Amino acid sequence: MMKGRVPGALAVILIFSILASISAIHVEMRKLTAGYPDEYRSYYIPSSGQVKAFSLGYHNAAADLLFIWFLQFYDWYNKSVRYDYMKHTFEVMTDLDPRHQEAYIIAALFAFIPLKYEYVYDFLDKGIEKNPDNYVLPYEAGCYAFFSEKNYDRAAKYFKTAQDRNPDKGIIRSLYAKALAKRGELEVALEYFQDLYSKYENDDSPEGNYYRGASARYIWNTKVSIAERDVAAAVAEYKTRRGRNPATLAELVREGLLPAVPRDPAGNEYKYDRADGKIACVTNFDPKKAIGRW
Amino acid sequence: MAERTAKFLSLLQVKAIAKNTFKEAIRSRIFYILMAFAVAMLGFAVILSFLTVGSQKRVILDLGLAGISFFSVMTSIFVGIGLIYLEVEKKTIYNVLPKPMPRANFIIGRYFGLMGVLGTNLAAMLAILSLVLLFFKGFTASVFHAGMFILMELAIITAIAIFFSSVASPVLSAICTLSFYIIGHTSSTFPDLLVPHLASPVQKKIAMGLFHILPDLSILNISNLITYEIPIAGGFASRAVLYTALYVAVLLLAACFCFRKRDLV
Repeated sequence: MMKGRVPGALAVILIFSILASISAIHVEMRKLTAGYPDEYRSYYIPSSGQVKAFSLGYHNAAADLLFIWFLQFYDWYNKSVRYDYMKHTFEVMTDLDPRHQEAYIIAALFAFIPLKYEYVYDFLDKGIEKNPDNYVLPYEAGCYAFFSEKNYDRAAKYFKTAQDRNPDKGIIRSLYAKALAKRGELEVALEYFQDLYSKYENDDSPEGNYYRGASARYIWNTKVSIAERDVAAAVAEYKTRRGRNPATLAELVREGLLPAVPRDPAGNEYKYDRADGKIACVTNFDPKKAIGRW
Repeated sequence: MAERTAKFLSLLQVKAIAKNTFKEAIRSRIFYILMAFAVAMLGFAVILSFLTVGSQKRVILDLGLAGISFFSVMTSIFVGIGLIYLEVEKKTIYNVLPKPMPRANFIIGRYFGLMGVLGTNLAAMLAILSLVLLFFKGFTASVFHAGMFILMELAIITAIAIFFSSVASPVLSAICTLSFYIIGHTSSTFPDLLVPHLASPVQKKIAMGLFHILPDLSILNISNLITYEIPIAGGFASRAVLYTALYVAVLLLAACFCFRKRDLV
């Protein structure tokens, strides 16, 4: 009886001992490779066509797996080889699943961290082209251009695309108008803000209140900017003719440079500074009056 | 009258063999091992879905359908390859063949029996996937549309496995059927990856001819459309059914022909 059990127990002990040894050696090997440079941990992703063939028709599943790996790999912020293969990985991922919205957004975000704008727009442009009904991607691109790069021409282009794809989104309409205002198209921007205001004029939902309040403020600011721009141009022309700034705004009207003395959106006169020839709005914007039903 | 009776008897024989094959295959260990793998794949999909950004539903659906399809095909191959050959090897076929029955009935019965098992297996796995999707509030009835197309793919693969099983050993059958599975899923890349690299127009024509003749299994894979709820083109499903039926018919005919000619003594 015992004779049979002893070899069996010995075999189990032997197996566990070998497994423990393998585990210990593996731990040692991990320790030894920990100091290797990042380049050592290189990887290879074949071309999109090859991955498509290898995925045996399950392109979306392959794209999901690659995307999860992409998140883990590029999330490691102090990796020196972080951006070397980013574009290729992104291309493969989005060729496998061109409708993978998060892939475009996250890749653009990872490229934005080191301010690689060329990648940001390349990634989002591909998504915009491949998904003609998607408004989120041009909106994202517009936000990068508007808030970070401060490239208002580019921002206006993207927000216009987003707005054409989803005209009902207040945030896109508002940002498009802001980008237009920033690049000097104040009258067009004003029309958009007025449209936005009228859209939410009778909407008492939190969203309606927000956009009514925001558009009222933007209408106010844009009207002031238009007056400032017109006065600045008139003052410059006046100075060319007379060699000095006008003493009052009424002089500009008499000279035929302004149709009337400009008034702020509340109907009050602007404060005119003769020394620099600029006007300033002295009336405070009253949000309660503008918004009405908070 | 006699002809009608013969047809009815033939149908009964096919039914009896199919029923027997179903019982036999459902007892097969490999069937349960592969089914366990498919369920494990679903669990893996759920775990992976927590690691992604955005839609969990998409990851579960993509990996779930891919897992179900892949492991169903593996079941079809590894159960199918032995269905005819092992009967001959174990000599159990000699209990059946002496009966007044055409050999073709044996092949057809075997095929439908295995398809019954695969269909049951597929339905069970789709039900599990649906429950998982329901739990994550991502259920869509399109899962069953995808299931229908997976069943068509299984019908072709099973016919290929049965064909090879009727002429070759299980190992060779497995290699050949797996090769056809891989070709079936990669042949759609011929026009983009292979044809541009071919020098002569004749080679290009041969490659394109092969592309149209070889089973195009990737065209039956609609799981990529299901994820984004893209509607299937009108008339596609009926053509897919016809395509599958014709492929199965030609493969079973070839299998019956080879098996009829085979010397089993």
